[in-house]
Amino acid sequence: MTAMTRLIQRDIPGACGPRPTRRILVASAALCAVWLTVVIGGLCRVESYGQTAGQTGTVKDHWPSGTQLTLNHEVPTLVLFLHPQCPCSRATLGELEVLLTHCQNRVVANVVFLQPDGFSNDWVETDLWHAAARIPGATAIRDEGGREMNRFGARVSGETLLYQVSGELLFHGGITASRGHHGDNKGRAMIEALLTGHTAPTAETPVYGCSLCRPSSSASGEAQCHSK
Amino acid sequence: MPFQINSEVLRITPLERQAAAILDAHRLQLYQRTDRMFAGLMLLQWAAGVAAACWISPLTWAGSQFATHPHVSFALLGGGALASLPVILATIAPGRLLTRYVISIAQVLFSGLLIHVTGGRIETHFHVFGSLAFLAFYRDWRLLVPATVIVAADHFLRGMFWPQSVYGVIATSSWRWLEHAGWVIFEDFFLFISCQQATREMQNIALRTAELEQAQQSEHAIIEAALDAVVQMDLEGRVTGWNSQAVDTFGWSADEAVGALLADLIIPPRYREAHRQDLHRFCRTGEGAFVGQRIEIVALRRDRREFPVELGITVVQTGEELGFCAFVNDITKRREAEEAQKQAKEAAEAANRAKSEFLANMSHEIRTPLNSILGFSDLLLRGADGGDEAERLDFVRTIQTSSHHLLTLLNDVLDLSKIEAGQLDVELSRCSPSQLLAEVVSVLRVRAIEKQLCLEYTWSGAIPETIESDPARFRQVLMNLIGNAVKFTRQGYVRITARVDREPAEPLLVIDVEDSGIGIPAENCERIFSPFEQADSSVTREFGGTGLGLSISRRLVEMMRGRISVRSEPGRGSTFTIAIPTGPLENVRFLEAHSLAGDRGDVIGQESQVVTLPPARILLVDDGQTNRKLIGLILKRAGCTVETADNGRTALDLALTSQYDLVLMDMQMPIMDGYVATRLLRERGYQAPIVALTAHALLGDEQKCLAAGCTAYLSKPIDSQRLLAKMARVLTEHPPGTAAMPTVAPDARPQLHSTLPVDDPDFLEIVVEFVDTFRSSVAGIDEALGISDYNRIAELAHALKGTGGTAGFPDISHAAGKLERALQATDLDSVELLIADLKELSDRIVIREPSKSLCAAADHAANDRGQLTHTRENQPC
Repeated sequence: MTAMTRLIQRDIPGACGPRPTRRILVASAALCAVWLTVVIGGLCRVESYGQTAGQTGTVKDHWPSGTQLTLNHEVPTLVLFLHPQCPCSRATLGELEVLLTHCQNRVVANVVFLQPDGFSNDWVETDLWHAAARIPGATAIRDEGGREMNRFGARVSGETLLYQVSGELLFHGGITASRGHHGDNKGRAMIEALLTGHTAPTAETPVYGCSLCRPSSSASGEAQCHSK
Repeated sequence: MPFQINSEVLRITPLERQAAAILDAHRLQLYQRTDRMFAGLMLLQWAAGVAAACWISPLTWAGSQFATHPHVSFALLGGGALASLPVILATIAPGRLLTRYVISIAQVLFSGLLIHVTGGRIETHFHVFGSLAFLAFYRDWRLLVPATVIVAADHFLRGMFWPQSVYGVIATSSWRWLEHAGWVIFEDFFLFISCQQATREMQNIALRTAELEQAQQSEHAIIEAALDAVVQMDLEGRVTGWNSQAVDTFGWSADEAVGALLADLIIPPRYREAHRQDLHRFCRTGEGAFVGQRIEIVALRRDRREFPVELGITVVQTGEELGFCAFVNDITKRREAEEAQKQAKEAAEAANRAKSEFLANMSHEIRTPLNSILGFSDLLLRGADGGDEAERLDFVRTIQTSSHHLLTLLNDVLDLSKIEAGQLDVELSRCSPSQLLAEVVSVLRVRAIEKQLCLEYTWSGAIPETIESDPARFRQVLMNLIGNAVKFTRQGYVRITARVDREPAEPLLVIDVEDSGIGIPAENCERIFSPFEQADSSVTREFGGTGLGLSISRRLVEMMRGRISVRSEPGRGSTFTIAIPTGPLENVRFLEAHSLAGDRGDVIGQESQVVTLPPARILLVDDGQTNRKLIGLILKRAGCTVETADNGRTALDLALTSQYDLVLMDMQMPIMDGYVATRLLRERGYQAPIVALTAHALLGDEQKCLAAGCTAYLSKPIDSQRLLAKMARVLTEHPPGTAAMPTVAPDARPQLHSTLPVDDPDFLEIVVEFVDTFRSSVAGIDEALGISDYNRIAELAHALKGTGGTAGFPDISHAAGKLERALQATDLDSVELLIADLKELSDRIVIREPSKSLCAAADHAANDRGQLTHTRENQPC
């Protein structure tokens, strides 16, 4: 390697401007450190949000009476509650599609879309609705006023309930690994195990999605899910 | 750490150093450009993230209520934070190493974020590969390192704790991160090679650029250093190159000239059309009238002055472009030099012709009086006068007149030669102007009388008793002017008017010589002052003369810091005016014109004066028989008694033994010259006046004669009047009979004996033999001196130096040694004196009389050799 090559390989500070002073170097290092801290902190915050599950309630461990949903007596019935506007629920629908594909004819699925009082059908029939309607073996249902959600006790968009033909609850939880995250997840794996006759290690998983209920403004703190 | 110069840097050549500087500049531009590109990309990614968040997840819901989705806030704030520092650094510090590294880290963090928010979609992994490829734009492989490390670390950590986020599966192999990192490193490998290759290409480009710049600089330096104006022109006739010499030559600056039409700048208007036509012809046919030639033409400066130039035009091809290059040399000075040379040559040829004419004229002029002298002399010798005293007298007068004419001619030629050789000097001294003028007029009175002309002079105003000038040269000038006036006036008058003009800063003596002669045409008034020139050839034929007098007079007047002028009218006469400085007149008595005796004279009818001398006994010493006869006759006719000698030795003897009132000594004589003889006389206490006669008239000769002991000095050829005047003056100062004889008898000089015991016959023989050899050597030295054979003199002196002391004559060795040293030092003046000393030693040698038997033996030995000589000084053995 010629002397010129070695010369070129070095960084000659003069070529790129005057050599920075010690104060500038220290300031630059501090600035970079702050920036990295902020960036990494932001990334962690994003990560944290994605890992934050919705607050579920107590669901009926037996098919509720008074529901207008039909319990299938031949195969288990899966009920999925979705907020039609929740962006994170796209992944849930995607996982439902994978699930129904893997467990074809082993389950029937009802995708129940919240329709608060006073909201039109157009508000409900979003791309999620149409995506759900296209899934073979899935039925999209409007839940006017959120009455079915109240009957079943669902609180978070993406909350999935699996009932046996006898009406006994087999599974309750989410079928995504995190908010809006496609891919393998414990919830789907458990349901698939239950539908294929295997036992699942646990019957409940976190649900990542928007809340189906409006935040409470009353002293009781109870969420209201069915009206404006 | 401060930047340290690698010792290898010191070994790189200037070309490599320049190439490195070019490469650094290129790299800096590349870094800055890429920084700005990434800054734009960062902003684009940020905006895209915000847009995507707004489109995909704009709101978050809680029942029927909604709020801005956190993803939008994350995109806006987090993306902004991620893009902030790279954009800021790319803006304020583009090209910096820190900027590049921050950009590198931020870009791969964007990739990681994208992979995460898409749940590890495999498609989003391509953002990593794209980012790395984009980072390779910097040509700096080091930037790939932190990016690769971050990607690998991200995959490792996520793979360990949450593989779904990066691989999309719940569980995966613990080495899967390595596979992902491996693919990144795989790409890095190719990017590294690409960076290195790109760097080498940049190096080569930098080197080639440096070489090109050096070549251009060298070419530019050569053109700028050229002594000729170098002008480059395109096919349209516009100037494309104009070096600094062109600026100096033509006066147009480079900024003014480049781009302008060459014809408008430097070509005279009358040649511009021809220039344009020639240019068009070249464009059509490729042939130009003056291309590839050197021509001399006229060019134009900025101030519109034309000047001659030498022009060489060549066609220059640069790539596919043709142009012209002209080399222009200002030959104004060369032309002037050629013209001056031509004029000098013509002047030299004219001078040569004039000299040839002069020589021809001189030949005639010399032959004429010579013929007269020879002819009439011959008549006298053959007795052609028939005993008629009057006719004989007439013959003699003719001879005398011709001799005087010849003498004047030769004097004039010698004077002019001395003037031109710079050997004639003016010797200022106080002299009486009235006396000088009177003397000259009195001399020329005879001629005026003969021609029946009225010769008169007057003084206008008071006259200084003395002025400071060169009396001899002043007299010479007056003689010439007044003599000419007398000569060139057939009838009428010659009137001299003298006055002192005290108006100028330096007073001037002004003398007007007016005549009623033939006059001089106006066109010849200046020519007559040139050597060898007369008014016209008819003047020469009628009046004779050499044409040198006025030239000499002008030179002499100018040497005296004066001026000479003439006013003339053909047929009516001329007036010559000279004005010479008088020198300081303070403390000088002024005389009124009427107080001067003889200051006004109507000289018609007066006879010439005859000089008589007191009855003095004069010793005339001259080796020339004719001179002895002539001078002797003059002196005898003047009333003196004259005895003669033909050499200095004889004169020495005569002067010391007989009473003379005056010695007239020629200074150049054989055997013993006048200098030695005079010196020896003075050493012996001789007191009578000695007047030197010498043919030399150089400035130092008089001083040399006076230094030798002479009382006065006369230069040859001898003029009888001057001779008698000088003799009269000297005899007046040293009246006859007043000089005492020296007390030292000539034969009282100490005798020189050998220190060897001459009583011994063997030693006597040696002494006698040496004395003979010594005297032969002295004669040989004298002979060698006569032919200036100084090498021979040195040989003989060297031999005497070695043998004199051996033979008992240390004085001879000493004198010979001095002579040898004088020859080595080329002190020729001392050589002559030292030779005279040797001669004197030779005269003083006396071999003491031994017993008769010994004397006879010595005589016999000497006679055998034929070397024994006897003189008056040598005592016979």
